[in-house]
Amino acid sequence: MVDDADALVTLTPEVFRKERNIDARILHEVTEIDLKGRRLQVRQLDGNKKAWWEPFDQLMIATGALPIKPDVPGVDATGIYGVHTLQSGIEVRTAVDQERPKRGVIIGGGYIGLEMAEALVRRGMEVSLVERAEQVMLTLDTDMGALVSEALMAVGVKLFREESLQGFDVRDGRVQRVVTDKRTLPADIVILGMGVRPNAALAKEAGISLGEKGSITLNDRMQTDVEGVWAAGDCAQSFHLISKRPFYVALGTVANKQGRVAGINIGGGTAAFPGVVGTAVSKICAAEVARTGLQERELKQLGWKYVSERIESRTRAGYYPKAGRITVKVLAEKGSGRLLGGQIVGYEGAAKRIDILATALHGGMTVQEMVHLDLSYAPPYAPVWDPVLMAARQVEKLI
Amino acid sequence: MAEAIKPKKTLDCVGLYCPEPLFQTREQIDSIEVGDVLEVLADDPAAEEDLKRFAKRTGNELLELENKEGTLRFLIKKMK
Repeated sequence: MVDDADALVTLTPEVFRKERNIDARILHEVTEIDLKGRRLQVRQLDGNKKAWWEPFDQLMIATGALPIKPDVPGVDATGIYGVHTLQSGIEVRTAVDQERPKRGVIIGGGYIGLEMAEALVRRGMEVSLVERAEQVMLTLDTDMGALVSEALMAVGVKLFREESLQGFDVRDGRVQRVVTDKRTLPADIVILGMGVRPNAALAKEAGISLGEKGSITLNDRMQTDVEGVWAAGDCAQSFHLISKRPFYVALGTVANKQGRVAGINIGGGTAAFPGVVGTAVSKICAAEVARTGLQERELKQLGWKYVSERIESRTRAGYYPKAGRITVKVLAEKGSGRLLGGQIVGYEGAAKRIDILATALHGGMTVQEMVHLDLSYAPPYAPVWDPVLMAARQVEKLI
Repeated sequence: MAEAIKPKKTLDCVGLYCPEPLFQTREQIDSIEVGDVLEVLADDPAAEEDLKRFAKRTGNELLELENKEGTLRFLIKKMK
């Protein structure tokens, strides 16, 4: 989509310095946080490679996340890539465009797996995807995940479900085959899409509290449990507004909001970030996937009584050219009808409809209230009953 | 202006989503002779990138690419 990776770099150290009066130093690694001494051990990674102690008044930790690297034989071979930074994305794209691998194997059917599958398919490669669970996209319920599995196969991806990675066959340091518990798959390139975990080792070593999935615990001002130490982004914990529990999510939208709130507070202002409702969106070629709120697995874990319904519709008036299929699933609390979550798989702009559900979640709406939402309508944009309203109406009957 | 190139075959992918235009183009290129030109019509914007990359990758020449009100027209010459 974007030819020049430089176009994806939003801010450079020069811009920070000239326009924002911020001394941003890249290629400098922090190797230790000394909370008592209120200083950081910093090491320069290029140039004269010196190390020194840098004092701080306020500390903001934004160390992001790391791709989960499976502990299997051969995982360090050449040709196996994780995709978690712009740099690693560039490395994969360069490898694909220059080496022209024919067969790609992707481990994991989540957001990264899906998006990388599309990238490889569109470069004419034979793509296989190995997924441990029954369906891909574990952030969707199984019935909706099945639609995404179908969409993957419809674009030519060989999908292996309920299969787990055991290791890699390597020759001369280069990966040759992916070994699962059921078969071996020849691979010229392997992409690891097994999810991410918080990069919170520095915080942990310094004694800062960690919470969900090892992320740094925070209050709604983005403060950690240590005075003058803040955190935000993929290394930090968030809060789920529906389950009312601590929640870990690694998404750019959340990281930006948390960073902004932390910055305002550190600078002497007052701001709070209330939390998330769990919205995310992705696609595999033309098939769009979106979700928000809690899914069945989470509701069962919480022990909440819920009802749900799934409907099929079109994204535009049925007779309108380019109307795409859309499947919407809505979950609500039994008795009260309070909206608990929603999932969408479809075409032609299906995914953005998740924002209706995300907004309704923020507003604490019930499906009874949603049925009367004054949404926009004209044949090019929706059928006369928007698919989201249709789903809410069906769920209303079950509460 | 050189005289209009006459394609050996026309592949109509209007209404098809990525990666269909790419898959079908690949098939049709295989079915024509070296030196022949394949005309492809598509309206999925993703097709532009996919077919440009396909031509580059396979060493076939993209002679022309025009966009007429959202419909893309490619002329691809089979080089090998």
